[in-house]
Amino acid sequence: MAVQGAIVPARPLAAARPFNPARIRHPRIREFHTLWDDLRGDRIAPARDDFGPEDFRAVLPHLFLVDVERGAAFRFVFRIVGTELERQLGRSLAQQEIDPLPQDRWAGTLYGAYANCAITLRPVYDYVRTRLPDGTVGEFERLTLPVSADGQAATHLIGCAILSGGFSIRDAWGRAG
Amino acid sequence: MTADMTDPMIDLDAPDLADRLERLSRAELDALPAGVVKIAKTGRVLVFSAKEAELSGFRADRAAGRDWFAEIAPCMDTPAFRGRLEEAAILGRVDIYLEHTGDFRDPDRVLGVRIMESPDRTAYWMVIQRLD
Repeated sequence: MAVQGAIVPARPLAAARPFNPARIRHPRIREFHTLWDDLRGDRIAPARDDFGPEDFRAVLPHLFLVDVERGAAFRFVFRIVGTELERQLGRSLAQQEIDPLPQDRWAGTLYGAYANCAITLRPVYDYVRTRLPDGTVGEFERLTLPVSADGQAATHLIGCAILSGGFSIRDAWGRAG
Repeated sequence: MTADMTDPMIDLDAPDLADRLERLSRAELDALPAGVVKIAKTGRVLVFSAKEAELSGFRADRAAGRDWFAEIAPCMDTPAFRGRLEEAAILGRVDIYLEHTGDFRDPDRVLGVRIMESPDRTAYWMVIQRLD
């Protein structure tokens, strides 16, 4: 069965209910959300310059920073990708553009989450738990947060993704390579 | 907040939940605290519990026999939902839990969905909980 659905959300969610950070399981991801929330203050999102290098230290192996370019469709280009994420994928992602075509399902989930975040300017949280045939349980968490200079449009997306348990990104998302 | 995945009637987090669901009567399925849907691997709806009808607002008699992804829940026909289900099927017997944003009457509602392959491997059970 081929996946047919659109990967970009059909409607903006700006007026939607606020994101509930209690959904976040992993303490490092929760701390990163708290940092982002503190940096933004009363704004809808912090600006890129609000972040200092020390802010990334705790999540650096799991961190991603993405440039957002608006056109007929969003373009997302990785600027920073944590070493653990690249190790899991087995390839470098820095300077790579995310292919929105859904036949690459790993990229499809990424593009959908990033587009959702860029459109709504709200946190997007993904959580998947898989029980493998041998009984091992693997978990994947990803938090994507908007970064905006003017509160109107996302200039970047920042976040972190953490896997735990007995599977890899490649196992979880198919042969992304 | 994550919903409690346990219940005195049936442990919704049990590794053998699909086996347990298979043994329940229709009345027992309807009485579970979470919505329960069973779809054939073709996508055709085989079971749409009364609780799921109550929580979703989608009438159970209109769901039976229809295509889940094409006619009932097209918002789940995405890489993030159906794509993950299909990738899990490649890994082996499907047993995944994921969180999906979008309900029938509330597009911002977060759903916790556990999807398991049926014991005869012809269908998927889905247990759907409304989170925040």
